[in-house]
Formats: sequence, structure tokens, C-alpha cells
Amino acid sequence: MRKLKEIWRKMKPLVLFQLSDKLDFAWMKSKKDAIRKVVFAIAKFAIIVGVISLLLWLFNFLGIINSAEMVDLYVMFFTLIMALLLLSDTHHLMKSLYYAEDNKLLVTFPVSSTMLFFSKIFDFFIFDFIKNLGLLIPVSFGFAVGGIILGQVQVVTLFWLLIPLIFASAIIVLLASLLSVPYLYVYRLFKLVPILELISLLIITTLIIIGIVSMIYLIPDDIDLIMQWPAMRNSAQNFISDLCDKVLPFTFVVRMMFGKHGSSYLGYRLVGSCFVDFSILIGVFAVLITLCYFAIKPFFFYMMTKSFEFEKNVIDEPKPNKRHRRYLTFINKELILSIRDIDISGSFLLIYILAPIMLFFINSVYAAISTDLDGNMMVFAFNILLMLLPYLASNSVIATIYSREGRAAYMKKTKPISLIFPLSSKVFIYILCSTISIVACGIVFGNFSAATDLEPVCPVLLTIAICFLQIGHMFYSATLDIMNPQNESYATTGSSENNQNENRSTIIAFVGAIIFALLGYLFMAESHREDTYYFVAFIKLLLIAIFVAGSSFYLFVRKIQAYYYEK
Amino acid sequence: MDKMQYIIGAIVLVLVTGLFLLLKKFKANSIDKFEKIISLCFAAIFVIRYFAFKNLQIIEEYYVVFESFGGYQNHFLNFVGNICNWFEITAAIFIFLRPFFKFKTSIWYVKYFSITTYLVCFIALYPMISMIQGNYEMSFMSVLLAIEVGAGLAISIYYHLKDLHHHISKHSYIEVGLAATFFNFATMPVYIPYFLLGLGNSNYHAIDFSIYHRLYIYILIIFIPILLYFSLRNAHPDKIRYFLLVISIGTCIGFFVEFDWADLVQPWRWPLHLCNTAMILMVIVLILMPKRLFYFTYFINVFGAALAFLMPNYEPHYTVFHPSVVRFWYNHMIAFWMPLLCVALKLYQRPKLKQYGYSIVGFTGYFFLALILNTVFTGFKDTVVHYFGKDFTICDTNFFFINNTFIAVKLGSWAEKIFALNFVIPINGRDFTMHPVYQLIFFGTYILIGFGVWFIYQLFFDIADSHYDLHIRLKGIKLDKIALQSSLQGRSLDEPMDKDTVNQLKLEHFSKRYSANKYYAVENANLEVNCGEVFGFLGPNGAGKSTIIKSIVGIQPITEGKITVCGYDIKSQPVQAKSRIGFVPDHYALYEKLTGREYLNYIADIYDVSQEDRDVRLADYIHIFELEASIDNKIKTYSHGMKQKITLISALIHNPKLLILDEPLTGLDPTSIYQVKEQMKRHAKKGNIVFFSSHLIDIVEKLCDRIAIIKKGHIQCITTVEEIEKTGMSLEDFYMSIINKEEEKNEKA
Repeated sequence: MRKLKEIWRKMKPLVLFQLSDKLDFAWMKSKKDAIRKVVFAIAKFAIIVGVISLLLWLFNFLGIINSAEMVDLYVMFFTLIMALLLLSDTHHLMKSLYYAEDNKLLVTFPVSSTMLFFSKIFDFFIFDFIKNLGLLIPVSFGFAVGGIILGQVQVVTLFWLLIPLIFASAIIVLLASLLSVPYLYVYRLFKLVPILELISLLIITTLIIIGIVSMIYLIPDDIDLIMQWPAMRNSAQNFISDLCDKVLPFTFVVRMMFGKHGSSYLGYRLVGSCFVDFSILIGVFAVLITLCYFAIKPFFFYMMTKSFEFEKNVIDEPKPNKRHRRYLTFINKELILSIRDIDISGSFLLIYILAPIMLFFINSVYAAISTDLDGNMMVFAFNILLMLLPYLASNSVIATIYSREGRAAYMKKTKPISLIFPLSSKVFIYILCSTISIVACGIVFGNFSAATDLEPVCPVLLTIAICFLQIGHMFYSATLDIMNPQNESYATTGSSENNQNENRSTIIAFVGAIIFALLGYLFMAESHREDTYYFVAFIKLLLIAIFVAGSSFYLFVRKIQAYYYEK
Repeated sequence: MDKMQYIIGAIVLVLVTGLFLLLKKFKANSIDKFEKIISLCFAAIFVIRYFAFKNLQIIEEYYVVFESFGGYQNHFLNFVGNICNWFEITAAIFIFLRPFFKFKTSIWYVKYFSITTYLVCFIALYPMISMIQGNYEMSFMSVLLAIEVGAGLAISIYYHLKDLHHHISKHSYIEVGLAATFFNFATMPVYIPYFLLGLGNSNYHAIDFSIYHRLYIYILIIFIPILLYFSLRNAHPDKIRYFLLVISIGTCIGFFVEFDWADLVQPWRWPLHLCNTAMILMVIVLILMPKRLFYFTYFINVFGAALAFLMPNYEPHYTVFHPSVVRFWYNHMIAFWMPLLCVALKLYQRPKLKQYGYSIVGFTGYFFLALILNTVFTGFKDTVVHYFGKDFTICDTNFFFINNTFIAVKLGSWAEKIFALNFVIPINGRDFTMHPVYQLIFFGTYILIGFGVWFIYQLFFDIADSHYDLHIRLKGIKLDKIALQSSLQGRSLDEPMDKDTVNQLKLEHFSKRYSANKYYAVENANLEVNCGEVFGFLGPNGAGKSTIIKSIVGIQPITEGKITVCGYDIKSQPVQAKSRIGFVPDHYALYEKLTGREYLNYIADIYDVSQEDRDVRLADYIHIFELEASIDNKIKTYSHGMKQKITLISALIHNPKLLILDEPLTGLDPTSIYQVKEQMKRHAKKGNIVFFSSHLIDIVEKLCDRIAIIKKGHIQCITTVEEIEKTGMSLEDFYMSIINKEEEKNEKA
């Protein structure tokens, strides 16, 4: 025990040092802010728990799920979250273990490499745990409370649930650290041969497209939810049950958390074998720690002390100097940088490619469902939402567009130019790509709406409206970055954890998309009620979008004039 | 008898005028007090008359009577009578507020509007009486109106004569006219749209988010408050208060058009709906300025009104100009935006959480009062009470909508079921019914949502602040442009502002303070560097070297003073000044995914360097800095020294008149240091300015013609290297003596 205390005494400052780089603890300095933050966190937690348990009760009440299937449903959620966590943790751990800027500093500290390594892993686990407090943990408690309401889960589960959950999360972090080594090699190979990255990206995209198209072919020509409900429910039940059988490790953990299923009358009970299973979980945890110690730690230290020098290409013939028009040069530079920075532009492009395909898929489902007029209007509104969500949400990248340039961005201020052009030209590339994608979405929507009462001009108007809204949101996001730049953070660490600008851009994206879709529905309903053409509704949407785009571009320009030199 | 009211009015006019003539003998202080007393008396007559004029008819019945007035006089006289009754309210408010608010516009309103209105009213006294009484007979009300009009005219004449020297400018005529028109809309009795425009097309209903419902929202809830905010935001607080007070009193009078004195004894008819209370509360909070009461309206009334817009409680078949519809929107627009405007226009401070607490206490009191009154009056429903010689029938009440299913129906059957959970108290054969679960949920939800409103307010405050700040800054930029144009005296913007300094870098009284800091990073720095000079800038870390350099190159704005580069002011002519500057920062800042050549061409494009010039210069610099083998590789593959060389080439590519280098030699190997030094000398020899900061004193000593030493934001000395040598000291010794001298001075102090 004393030894453990000693280890913790040494590790604590290391963990805190690294955590303070990832999280903003400024709120702890003010008592008021601390109370506010804690109250909000608790309220948020309680709301998620309440909503989940209410949904479970409602689903059970409506007969969508059986109370006995509740834990199976949780297995599905748990598997999905854990899989996503594993992917994300592997990527971030690879960056954090081998490429972090603070490695150069940490290596000079008078602590052993074991201590350094485990401090990194522990720091990552805490960071992950804090993230999990936002979704995984409250949803798990929501399921538990829902289960208690439905008489399927014991109250004692609430006190037990968190313990296996913590160990399960820790196992994911350890697994991710193991996977980070092969991932590092793939990553470095991609950096060495960039074309490989592009090819693999294209392969993944093609596979996704093939997957979606084959799913579209699976959609029956006629869907009648009410008539086909029993059959659909059976297939859903079978799917969940098959999944539970296939993801046995996750089912194992979940059954340990909620207990073993006795009968629908008894529900899930925490019996002795749950605690035996828990000891197996701890055993796996111990094995993984040992593996990490022997396999990853030496590699971590090797990579930590390695200098990442790039090999230079030997070029025999000097290239000519190319002159561009003064303002075109910014667009040229952005194009080159976008192509060479596949990390960001690649994921961006993926969204732009996938959005119309997903819309096509969903509209194929809708096309098979027979809907009345009100249903059609709801589907149109949902189409608007589906179009807007991916585009607007992807604009969170724009909220870091200038900060990502690090200190190079400051140099713009020393140039004899009006800054509006270089700053807006950075957004230009994204506008161009998203416009092409939105037009594709518009064609998909037009194809779908052709079979309805909607006039042919409506999809055109909607496409233009969404383009304007997207442009408006892009400039809004860019303005966020201008007003609250994070250049220093990017210049020193290469990233900005928990960037407020990204969060705000995403929140506005979601809220904006929902409001716009709602307005679309209201305007269409009004057109129908007042017996006017539907395109009147779409003209109203277009006018709103033009106003949004115009005002956000105006503010973008004005805020550059007023603030950019001060920031 | 026919001309009796005119005679009474004329007598009052003479008497009051005479009274005012006597005032001349008194001191200014006493006159001031007297004016206030007269104002209050006048207001009292107005109130007594206003609530005495009707015969207890509810609004719809009143209009039936009103329409039949056509039998007493012709349409023109009807029109004149009604308009006079309406405008007289505005004129009376101007007169009432005149002794309390003594600024230009309040004087003008009385001097021009009130006197004209009262003059017309005096002439049109009979049509006025006819329109509100239904005949010309002598009555308590008609006598009071004659007294009111006579007194109003006399007071207006008095103020007109008193303020004779307050001439209105041509420009102000429009302002006063527009404001008076606006005030007239505020004081408009709710029946006026009906009188002027009819009830409106029977197909047009202002409910259920129809276009007419939305038009009410757009005009009354959005357009008018925005218009008022932008008209008043730069006005004096007294003027703001005056404007809001006129609107509040006016709308309050217009709202109470259907009430009279008999209503005082019928509490079940009192306007105790939450938003109704706002009409009275706003007048009180603007006159007496009680903070706690204000924040009650701010948190509770505003939110209540916002909910009411969404579900108006008038009959769904009412057309757009129906008096009940007009009355509803008049009431709710005041309840909604008046408290918001008070905060937006800074009459009241933005609330803290404490004030929200007070408002909740107030709300709890209101809620339980409404609950008790609802239960009691509903229990006594249809009971006839007798006082003042009259019979009054008690009717059921639904204050705050907690005593019937008006809101529950809109929420759905689940709410109706909760409402149906009754708690009945039988007393003396009467049932007093409450709906405790529904009412408690209602109460709790309102408080919770009210708490949420706090955050919405905060969001709007932030938005408003940021926009106001932006507005101020843009205004500043505009003023700077105007100042530049005037200082150039008709010359082109591309010409130097200061022709005497075209061969200089000049700092005049330059100071820099960072926004979050109250201390200056650099204070009152003066400096001149001439063409052909290599100027060294020395100082310890944090002394202010980089601050000065960043201000010269335009990375950060100047707090005070002026910086001119080759005659161009960096603040007002930034583009012209920066095109003459080449800058090497303390940390290289490059696009690492571009090749060296791509980056240099990008910079050359920005400075508009011709193809020929860039070919020659790039070839020259690439050769000098030995970058031939790597110039077409990506910058991320370069060493620190190579990156620094690329930065230096990018600063020289346009052959700038002023080359500024911020610690350019840090971390370079001896060969690179030599190459950089040689380029600095070469550039200065061409007749350009080289200005650089460094910690390497030896190099500064060998390289520079002149130096400046800065410490703690103050330039300690500017001298030539030659002069230092004459003293027999090395630059290092000289530097240390300057730095230490300052420290000694500080120690002694």
C-alpha cells in the first residue's frame, strides 16, 4: 500500500501536468464558476438519465421493445460506443504517445520511463472517463433506472454499475495503446507514401458507397409500417439477439453490470457468478497492463526519443517561378495546402461524398412508404434536416481554419493587402466542394419529390437555399475563429483540445438545421392551408437563407476590419 | 345650456392663465414647485374624467353604442371628435411630464404639439363630448372635460410663452413630428383602428400563426422595439426615460378605455392577468424606479407575454382590428419589450441572480393571490352584491389562466386529466374548487422556465454587447478615414501623409497597452531611423522590443502615438506603409507543406513582384544562402537555419525600404549568421533602413550605426556606436551600465 502511495505521489504531478494541457481548469479558480459548472454537469447527467429511462418506459409502453430485451438493447449501444472509443482512442493515443509535443519535455523529467508511460496512459484514461461522463455513463444509468422502473433491474445495480464500467473503459484504453503500434506503422507508411493514403481513402469510400447502394437494393418496393410491424419487430429482435451472441465480450461485461437474466418476472439479478465474471475482467485488465508494460513501454520510449526528420527528395532540375495574380495566389496556396493536408480535407470530402448517397438511401426508404400529404411534408422537412446536418456539422473544421495555421497566420497582418480576401479565400475551397455536393443532394431530392405534388422549381430553390445557409454557417464559423483565435495552441501543441469555437459551431449547426427544417415544414403547411403554391414556402426559405448568408458575411468582413489586428 | 361647456372651458382658461401670470412675482424655485403641483392637479382631473365617462359597458357593447353616435352628428364631426379625444391624451401626457423633464424635445412637444392640439380640442369640444357621452348634455363628465381642455390650453400657452426662446431647427421639426406621431400611436385608445378602418375582412383572423397573427408579432414585438432601441441608444438617460414613460402612460390609458370607477368595487373585473399587471407596473417602475419591482416585470412579465404571443386568448373568430385583438397586442407588446428596452437602454442594470430570486418571491406572491381570488370568486359566482346603491354580480375569474382549461387544452388531454384532479372545500353550502396538481405543476414549470430565461437573456446580452462594440469600432475606423482625408488635404490616399519623413522610420509618442492589462507595455517611445542605417534595438527580455516591432509591422494596433514608415502612417495608411516593409519575425512562421519556392512565390505575388524581378532576386538569394538543393523541397523538411533563411528571403523579395528583423540570429550556425549579417549590410548600403533587435551585443556593435536601449517599456537611450566608443566603453559595458543605472534608481526610489 505504501509503495502504491509512493508511486501515486510521483505520478500525480505528471498526470496533472498533462491533463492541464488537455482540459481547462480555469473554472475551478472561481467558486461561483465551480458551483455553476458542477450544477450544470449534474443537471445534464440527470436529464440524460431521465430521458433514457423515459424513452425505455415509452418504448415498452408502446410495445416497441419488451422489457426483457432492455439489456440486449444496451448491449448494442455499449458495443457501438466501445467500438467507437477503441477507434478514437487508438488514433489519439498514437498521437499522444509518439507524436506529442510535450514528449520532448517529459523525457527530461527525473522519473522512470515506466512512470512516464503509465502517466500518459492514466492521463488518457481520465480524459476518456470525463468524456464518458457526457454520454456512456449517464446513458448506462438511464438504462438502469429504466430497468428499475420496468421491474427488470435491481436498485442495487445503480451502486454496482460504475465499477465494471470503469474497468471496461480502462481495458479499451489499454487495448488502444496496444493497437497504437501497428496503427503507427500504417500512419507512417501513409505519410511516407501519401498516394497510399489517398488510395485507401478512395477504397473505403467506394466500399461505403457499395454498401449503401446494396442496402438500397434491399429496400422493398412497398413498405407498410403498420402491416409489416410484427415481421419487422421480429427481425429487429433477431438482429439484436444475434448481435449479442456475436459480440460476446461486450455481452459478458453488460450482463456482469446488470446481472444475469432469470426470467421476465424476476428480471436481471446480481448473482454470485457476476462477481466471478468481474474477477475475470480484472484478470484481463491485469494481463493487458502487463502486455503494455513489456510490449508498448519500450517502444514508447524508443519513439519518444526519436527525432522525426524527414528525408529530402533530391531534385536535379530547379522548378520555374510562377507568378499569379495578387488575389488568385491565395486560392492557389489554399488548393495546394488542402490537397497536401489529407487529414482534414479527406474527412471533409468524405462527408461531401457520403451526404448525397445517404440522402438517396433514406429517400429510397421513404419512397417505399405510402404517406399522406402531411406525411409528405414531414418527409420533405426531414430531407432538409438530413441535407443540412452533415454540411453544417462539418463546418466545425472551419471554426479552426485560421488557428490551424499557427503563427503563420500572424504574418498575414504584415502584408500590404486587405485581409478580407486571404481570409475568405481559405473558406472558398470548402464552399466550392460543398456546393457541388449540395447540388448532388438537390438532384437526389428533386428525383424523390418528382413523384409528389411539389412543383419542379422547389428542389432548385431548396438547393440554392441550402447553399446559402451553408455559406452563412461557414462564414459564421470562420468568424468564431477570428474572434477567438487559438493560433498559439496550434503553434505549440499542434491541436486545441475542447476548442470552444468548434463546439459553438457544432451547436449552431444542429440548432440551425432543426430550425430551418421546422420552418420548412411550417411554410409548406401554410402553403397547403392557404391553398397557394408550395414554391412560395421554398422562396421564404431561400430568403431566410440569403439573409443568414448575407448577414454572416457582413459580420465576417466587419469583424475582420474591427478586430483581426487585435486578436 | 347649449354653450355652457364652452363657457366653463373659457373661464378655466382665463383663470389658469391668470394664475400663471401671478407666478412672475415668485422665485424660480417656487415657480418650479408650482408647475409641478399644477401638473399633478391636471393629471388628477384627467384621471377622474377619463374613468368617469362611460356607462359600465363591456367593450363590445360599448362599440354598439358608439356606432349609434352617428345619429347625433355627421361623420366629419364624429371623426374630429374621436381624433381630438385621442390626441388630447398625448397632449395631456406631454403637459403632465413637462415640469419633470426639461430637455429640448420635451419642451418642443408642449410648445408645438400640446398647444395646437388643445386649441383644436377647445374648438371641437362638443364633438368630443358627443363621442364619449352620446349627447351634448351637461354632465359631470362633460364639465370635467371642459375644465380639462380649458386648463390644458392655458398650461400649453403658459409653457409656449415661457419657452419662446427655444427655437426648433428645421432638422428637428422632422424628429419632433415623427416622435409625436409615434407617441400618438402609443396613446391610441383600442377602439380607434375599428373606428377608422372597420373590423377588417371577416376571413382574416389574427390567430394560429396566420399571416395576420405574424404581422402583429413582426410589427409590435420585433420592429417597434428595434426601432426604439436604435433611435434611443445614444440618447441621454432622462430622454430615454421620458420616451418610455410617455409610451407606458399612453398605452396604459389606451388599454384602460373600457374601465371606469365602478370597476374599483368589482375586483373580479380587475385586470389581474399577469400581462395586464405589466401595464400598470411599467408606469410605476419608470416613475419611481423601484428595482425589485422592475426585475419582477423583467423576468416574469416578459416571459408571460412571450408565451401569450403564441396562444392569444381572444376569440378565434375575431378579425384583425377587433378592439379585443388590438387591446391584447397593445398589452403584450408593452409587457414584452418595455422591460427589455429598459435594460437594453441601460435605464436599469443587467440583473444578477439575486434579482431573479426577488422576482421569484414576487411571482410566488402573485401566483397565490391569483389562486385565492380565482377560488373565492368562482365559489361566489353569480352572487349579487349591493353597494353604493347598485347591484353587482360576481363572476368567475381565471387570473393567470390557472382556473380553467385554456392552457390545458392546448397542451393535450394529459394536461386536462391533471386539471380534472380537483380539491373541493365546501363552506356554507358553497364549493371552493382548486386544481392543486395542475396548479403546482404550472407554478413549478413557470419558475423553471423563468430560470431558463435567465440564460436566454445572457445570450442576448452577449450578442448585443458584441454588436455594440463592433459598431463603436467601425465608427472609429470611419472617423480615422475622415481624419486621414482631411490631413492629406486633397492629395491621393497613396501619397505619404508626412512628406518630410519619406526616408525615415519614425515613432512619435508611441505607447502600447494590451487590452487586458492596465499597464503600458511600451510608453511614450520616440525614435527616428534614417535610410542607409543599420539600427540595433537592445533590451532585456520583456522590455518591449517585440511590442514595438509588432506595432511597426502592423501585427498589433497602436494604443497611443504615431508610427510612420517612409511618410506613411501605419494606422491610417497600412497598405502603403506595409508594402515598404520586409519583416523577419522572432519565430519563423511558414506554411510547412509548401515548398520553399512555392512559399517565396506566394509572398512575391502578395507584394506584386514582377516575373523578371522575382526570377533575378530569387536566383540571387537562393545562391547566396546556398539553398539550391532544397528550395523545391517542402519546408517541413528544412532545418531551423534554412527556415530562417527562407523567412529572410521572403522579407527581401520585394526589395523593401524598411527591413525589420526581430532577433534574426537566434539559433543560427556561424555561417548562417554571417550570411544574414551580410544581407543586412548589403540592404542598408542600397539606401534602405535595417532595423533589428538582438541579444547578441557583439554582433550589434559590429553591425550597427546606431542603437537604442529599451527597458520596462521605456527607451533609455538612443546613440551611435561611435559615441559609445569615444567614452572608452564597449557596447556591452555601456548596455550594462544603462540597465543597472535604471535598477539602482529604482532601488533608491
